[in-house]
Amino acid sequence: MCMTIPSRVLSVDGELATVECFGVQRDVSTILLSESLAIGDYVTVMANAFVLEKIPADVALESLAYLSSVLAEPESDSVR
Amino acid sequence: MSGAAGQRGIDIVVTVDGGSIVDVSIANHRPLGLASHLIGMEPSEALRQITKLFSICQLVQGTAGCMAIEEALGIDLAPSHKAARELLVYGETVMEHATCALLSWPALLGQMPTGLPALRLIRSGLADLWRAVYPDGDWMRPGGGRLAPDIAAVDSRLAMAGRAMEEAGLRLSLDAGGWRGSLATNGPTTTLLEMLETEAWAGCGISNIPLMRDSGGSMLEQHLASDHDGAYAARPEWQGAARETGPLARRLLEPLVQDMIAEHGLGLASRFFSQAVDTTRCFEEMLHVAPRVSEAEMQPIGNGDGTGLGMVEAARGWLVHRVEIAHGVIRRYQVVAPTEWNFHPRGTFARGLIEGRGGPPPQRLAELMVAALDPCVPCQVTMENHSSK
Repeated sequence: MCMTIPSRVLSVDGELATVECFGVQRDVSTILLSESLAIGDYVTVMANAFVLEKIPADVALESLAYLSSVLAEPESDSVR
Repeated sequence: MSGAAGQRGIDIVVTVDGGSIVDVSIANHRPLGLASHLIGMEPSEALRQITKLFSICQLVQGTAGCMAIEEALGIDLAPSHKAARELLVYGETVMEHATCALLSWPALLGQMPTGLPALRLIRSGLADLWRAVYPDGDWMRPGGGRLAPDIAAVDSRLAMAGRAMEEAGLRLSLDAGGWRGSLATNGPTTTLLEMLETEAWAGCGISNIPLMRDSGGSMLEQHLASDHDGAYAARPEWQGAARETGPLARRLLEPLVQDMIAEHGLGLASRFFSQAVDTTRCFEEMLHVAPRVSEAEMQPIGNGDGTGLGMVEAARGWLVHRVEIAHGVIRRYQVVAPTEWNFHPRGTFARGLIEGRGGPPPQRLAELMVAALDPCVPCQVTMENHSSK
């Protein structure tokens, strides 16, 4: 099961968008989305390729802040 | 760390000797200590964080969390709330399976996905089904929120999702005499199973790892209560051995699944086919449970002992949350996800590769096994030659 990391929309071109998350940019399809997207929106992305849903900016920013603090910790919990 | 920044996943090193897989090493970099950040929060705030972090599977995560907190606080949930949660969790399972079948499976076959319009309709019907059941959006409140179902809206959403599933070939004929007769013509399951049979890979990936037929509640409670360093939650075992959880275990006794197993064994074809059976069965359960959802209020706090376990069957298998609460705040929070069972270093993924000799090329077998067990998790698979080690 995977964590959901919000991505910010950088550009929109028809049913394609470029999004950014933790400094990594991706081109994704918006074909599964029922609503329109604008630059600056926050979205969740499935399989690095498809936008699943738009999420409110305040929720996205709160999630990103929380995730940043968690992911900044050393990977002491990595297991083999 | 695998994948992009923030995408801590699973690194898999497959060692090959003479074309056969001789060893599989799995390093799990998933942020398994995530739940420890919930300590000190009030239960409702902890649930809010959980559903934000896991928004793709938020209903199953939120439900497992609610169940754990309710047990800890001694809250006896009303039957109507239980029915509402069943409806929502089944809906999320259908959506996750549909997304795999219509997005990931065509990619596995090198094909363009043709079922995206249907997937969009399925998601439109089910993704926020909670709005039609809990109008205040408080479905994840311990004790249940304000349950006031809009029956017409629920029926309309289910009808839309059902039609789209039919059009996409996702609904099997569960009363068919055998697995072949249950498949929809040109559905994604049909196409994938045809490829596996044509390549003679249908029986590959058999792991001989026991299937987890139930959640093992009391066993898990004992293990997790003494798991102070998180080692058990990272590599869970049952009676000293790894287990496989997921649709194959859940639907093992279905006659159609038994028919498939009789022909191809407990390998790739049976795992993919079980997902298809699970999709259809979960949707039927939604139709069955929807009429039992009626108005209900939040239940009061009772006399719990402060410790609770919540267990829910998610699309990928059993999900378990365990909580300890004292003086109104979280003192301990633990999560065991299906990923940790199935990607255990000696679990079904690793054994399925090693024992799957004579099947697909190693890289291809690894891709198929990931898709069959847990396609959501970022996995980085690296192949190594034994002689170069």
